[in-house]
Amino acid sequence: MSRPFPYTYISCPCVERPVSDPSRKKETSPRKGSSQPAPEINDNDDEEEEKDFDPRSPRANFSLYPPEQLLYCEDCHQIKCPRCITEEIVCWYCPSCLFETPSSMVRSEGNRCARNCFSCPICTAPLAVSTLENVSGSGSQQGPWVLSCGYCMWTTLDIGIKFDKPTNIRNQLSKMTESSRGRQMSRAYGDLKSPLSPLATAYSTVDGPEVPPDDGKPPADEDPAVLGPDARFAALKAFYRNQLSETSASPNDPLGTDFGAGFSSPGALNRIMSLYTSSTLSGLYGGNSKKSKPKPLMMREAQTASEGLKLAASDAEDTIIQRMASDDCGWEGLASSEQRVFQFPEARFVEDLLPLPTLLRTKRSKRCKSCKHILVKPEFKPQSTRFRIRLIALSYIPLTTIRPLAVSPSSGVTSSTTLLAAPTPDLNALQPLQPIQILLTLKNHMFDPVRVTLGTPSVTPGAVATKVTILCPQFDIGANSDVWDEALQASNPADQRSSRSGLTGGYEKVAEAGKVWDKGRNWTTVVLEVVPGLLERKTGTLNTKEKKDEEDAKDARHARDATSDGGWSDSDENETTPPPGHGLGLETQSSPAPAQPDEDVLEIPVFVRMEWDSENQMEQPVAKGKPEMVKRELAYWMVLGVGRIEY
Amino acid sequence: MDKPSSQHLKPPSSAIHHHHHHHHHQQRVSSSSSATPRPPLTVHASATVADTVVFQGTHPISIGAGTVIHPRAKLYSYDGPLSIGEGCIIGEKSSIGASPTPTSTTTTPTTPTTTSGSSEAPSIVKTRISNAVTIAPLAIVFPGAYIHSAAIVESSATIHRGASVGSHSKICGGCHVPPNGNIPDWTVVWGVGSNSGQRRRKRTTGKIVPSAVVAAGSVTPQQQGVEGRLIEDARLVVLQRERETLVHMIGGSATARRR
Repeated sequence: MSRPFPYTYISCPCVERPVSDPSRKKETSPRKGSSQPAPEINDNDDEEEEKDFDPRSPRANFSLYPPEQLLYCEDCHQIKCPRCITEEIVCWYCPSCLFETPSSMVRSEGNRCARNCFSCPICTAPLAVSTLENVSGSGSQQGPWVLSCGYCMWTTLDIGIKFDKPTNIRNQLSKMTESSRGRQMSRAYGDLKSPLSPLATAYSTVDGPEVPPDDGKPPADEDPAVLGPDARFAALKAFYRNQLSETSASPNDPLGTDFGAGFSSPGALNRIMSLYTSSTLSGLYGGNSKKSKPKPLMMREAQTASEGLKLAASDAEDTIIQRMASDDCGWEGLASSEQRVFQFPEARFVEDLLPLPTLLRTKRSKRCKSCKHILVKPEFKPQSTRFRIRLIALSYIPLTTIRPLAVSPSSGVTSSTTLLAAPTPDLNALQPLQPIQILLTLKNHMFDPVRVTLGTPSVTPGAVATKVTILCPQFDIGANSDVWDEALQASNPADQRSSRSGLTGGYEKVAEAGKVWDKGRNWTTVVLEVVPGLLERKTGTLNTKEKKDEEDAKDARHARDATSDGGWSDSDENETTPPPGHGLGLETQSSPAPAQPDEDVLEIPVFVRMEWDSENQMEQPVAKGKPEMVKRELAYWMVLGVGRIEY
Repeated sequence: MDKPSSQHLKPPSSAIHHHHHHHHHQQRVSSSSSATPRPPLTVHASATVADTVVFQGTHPISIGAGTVIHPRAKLYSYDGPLSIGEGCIIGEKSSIGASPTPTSTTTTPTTPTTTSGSSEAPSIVKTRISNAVTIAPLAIVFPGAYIHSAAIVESSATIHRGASVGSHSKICGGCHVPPNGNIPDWTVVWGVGSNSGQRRRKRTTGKIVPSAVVAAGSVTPQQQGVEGRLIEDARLVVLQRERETLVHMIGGSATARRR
């Protein structure tokens, strides 16, 4: 479901340190209470694990990210996850024509392409502008033009639209949809194959504020001046803005009004406030007699079609229902809810759907939330995929890769048949209680050598106690260098390769405690000895709630694998109420499940602490000693997903 | 102009002996018995069949005039005769008919009914592809399907047994037409998945009065009289051109390789 084994996740330090504090390094783990699922099944050494990161805790799962999704702030010297950054829009552009739209235009015109880019209203595929000239035989080389969908074969002829020229189709379309909107909109509700349009055109309204609201007259007939959706929205907007300004500007004496009525106006608040704040209150009192005060205008609703009022025809719904029930509509003739989302609200049938201008996209720069340092800044041009600044975490923290070491015959693991059969253990079916060795390679991408200290709880937290030993917890990684330097200097790259693979040595190589397994120019490999724990078969009735929480957290992480969006809220403390919709399943999970979901997944929390000396490019409050070379330190937890333990 | 001779049918594995019977316009080949049964082929002289097209089966296969069959298309006639109309394009690696199941690969060509690998269709079912049909690459058409004229079966779509696809219809990529399903004329089957995610829509053929919401007000009424059928006509014109080009490409390369 998530990544294939083996994988690596890195826990962003922001979980335990919401406010960036570069002086403090990660030594204590997040709040224990929240990071532990309430009942530990076999809590053998709970006290010792006080400080350890628990990848199984529901809360921890929300902070785990694949390393490539993380950024790094050079000012804070800290890993930044998507929750530690703010985003700013650099430019808006159409993904289909790659034309940039100024943000002012986005504000006024909306975030859709103003040119020729449309997507199909039926299936959302991009529409192509194509001509009809060679078929229709219109003679001139510039035939009428249509938008056509290459996928579902929808064309604008399906809705009876064609264009005179192949450019600026957005304008042409909006002219068509807006120009004679009145007639068309009257047909929308009165004239759906019903003879109401003569009535509608014959009817005329009295324009003025004294027209009573709709209770008086039956709204059977449509105004001839009824507006299209866009125009109606504009009319309503103008109307209410006007109302706001009128009602809030007119009263200057709050006490002269009838307060009961005055409260219904948004200007009432102003009036009440001015009652307390205005220094001219007494003057106003004296100067104005009560009878001369005008009644403040109350905010009213739109009453005419020109103000944006739209009365539904009394038989409008009947007409729609009849149309739905008719044979030529059918299920296929109805617009789905997905199709209707971006259409006018009254579009119910597929014939009512208009081609949608393509949604614009943005390029965004990202800043550190705490120091406002820019972490990512793309090129402004939509055509360019380059970045001016991009501080991804993987160029600072070591790239961690793990892979199982081939089981050597001399290592004494001879009990299992599968292990002997397979040279490397199957990560999806790790044998319980059979030690395996895992090569953990850290590759340095910085141009400074790094000293790394690894730490891990000797027994993994969680129900399945897996023993983990890092044979060489402290080691150095060489500095990264230029690729060309390496190519020129590398005398025997083949040797490196062979030794690194660990297979070609004919199993002579035995992992020794305290020694690195292998070492290259900018990488170092150490060995982890892992004894997968034994899974207990439980009836599954014990901790359904915890199970649920874990599922939620897992889901969150899996979802993050797919999308880099990290905006998950921390909602899964066990003491608090479970997320909505999950409290019901407590009893339903009493089926004899062998284990909790993903309980068999072997995830090893590893604490990484790197130290290196770097040049002090910027002011650094934590600078110790030397003016030029500064000792840097970075520490974080990572989680190694090794495999799945077999039952 | 040696096109008729170059349009020889080319059964895939060349190790098999063929008998060529030349008629005026049609070439009939009855293959001798071998491990894989050769179907009796009737290929129109103006059809273009690539070298690596697989013909297998026991029932006759006929290919109409002007039809282009891309390389590595698989045409099986174990379950019954297979007829492909005129002006079709059969895409690369598409599969028409069903290959026998592995259990019944030991086929006896003389008794076709027993050789059909599918136990559920022991009787002879005819698979028909009408004229001007496009079968895109990797599409699968099962035996008994009837694909009417000018239909499109997009890539990786599946037409199950006994299904009928109406003329001018389109089965979009990856869509399935269920067994014995019926797709009416001028229908587009699109969407994802086999049943639930799949949607259908009717293509317009006639003149459409702009609907209410659309309100093509600036278009004069006489201008609106463009029939939706025009689009399909244009597509068929393009299809025709594509076939002409393909004849040069597939046919030309086939000729070159033969010499």
